Amino acid sequence: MECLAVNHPMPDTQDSWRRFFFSLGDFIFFMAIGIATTLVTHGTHQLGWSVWIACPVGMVVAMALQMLMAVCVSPLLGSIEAMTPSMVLGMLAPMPVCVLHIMGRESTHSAAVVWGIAAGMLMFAFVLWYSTICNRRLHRAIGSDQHGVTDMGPARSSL
Amino acid sequence: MASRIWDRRARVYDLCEGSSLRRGRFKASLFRDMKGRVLFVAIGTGADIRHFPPGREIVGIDISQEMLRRAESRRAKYDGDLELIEADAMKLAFTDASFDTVVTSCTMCSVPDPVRALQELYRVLRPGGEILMFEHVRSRNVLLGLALDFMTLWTRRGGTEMNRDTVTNVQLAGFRIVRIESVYLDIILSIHAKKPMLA
Repeated sequence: MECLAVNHPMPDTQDSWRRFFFSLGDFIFFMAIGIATTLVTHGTHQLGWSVWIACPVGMVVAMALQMLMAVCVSPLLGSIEAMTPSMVLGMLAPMPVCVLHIMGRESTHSAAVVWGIAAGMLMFAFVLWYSTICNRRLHRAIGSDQHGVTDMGPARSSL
Repeated sequence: MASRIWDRRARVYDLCEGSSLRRGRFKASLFRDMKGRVLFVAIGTGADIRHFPPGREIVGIDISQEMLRRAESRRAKYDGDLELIEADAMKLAFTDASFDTVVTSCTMCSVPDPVRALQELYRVLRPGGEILMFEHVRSRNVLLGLALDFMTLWTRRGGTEMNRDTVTNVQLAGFRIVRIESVYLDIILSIHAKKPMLA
């Protein structure tokens, strides 16, 4: 049994600040993605097209916008760190706008913004939660005789 | 074919590697464990050289001549012995057990056959030697995993697979995992593995 937990030195102040600023960056970015993708989808639903055209077109445009925004922030927040959660967000955040339209009701401009902010905050909370889950998996793996790999997931997360 | 793809990507490689701001300290921490004669696989344009600890004896390889050409200025600034060689990770010209440490950095997403490449790295690593890997893998979370699968549909064209199970591949090649650290969730990992002494 050679799987070891990593005894990282306690993070220094600079490290804590760095982590704080990246978390803040993620938070703002997720909210921006949420707002942008719901708004653009809302916009396509205002064009008077059939719901079955507006929905896929809105989703495609929202995804394209999400990718563009993710590429722009990649040098700062990291390419995978920006692209992966924002892609999930870009797919899910506009869905209520489509669902409302299918149900024969229209979302308002401000409702789309509020939902976008909420979706961004939910994604940020999800990333925090999943980060904790990843930590727990590592701790569970320590003591197993499979080098912690089979059910390991990763160890300590930096977010 | 692969070398041509990477020759083309060399032009924008540093832009893609801009993530160094967030990941740099994790790379530096991983590279601190470089010991003895080191093989650094897929050194690219040398963006990682700034994170190398000084005074090491390192052989950096890459399949792309253009990448190596761009890495040259960074190599010159390194405070240690760093040699750059054009080579394919899946077919190395080095003799068995000729390195004490092997290092990869976002490499296993890009080699056509990761298990074969890892077996080749296993061959050139001495028994008891360590492989240090900074790699991104498929998330075990359904949503994030699907997003990475989706991304792979187009990143594959540029030679990068976002959804590989590198931890399992490392084991399949014969290495023993020593520890894994998370750099970002279960997607970007810092992996320490060893070639067993009695290999």
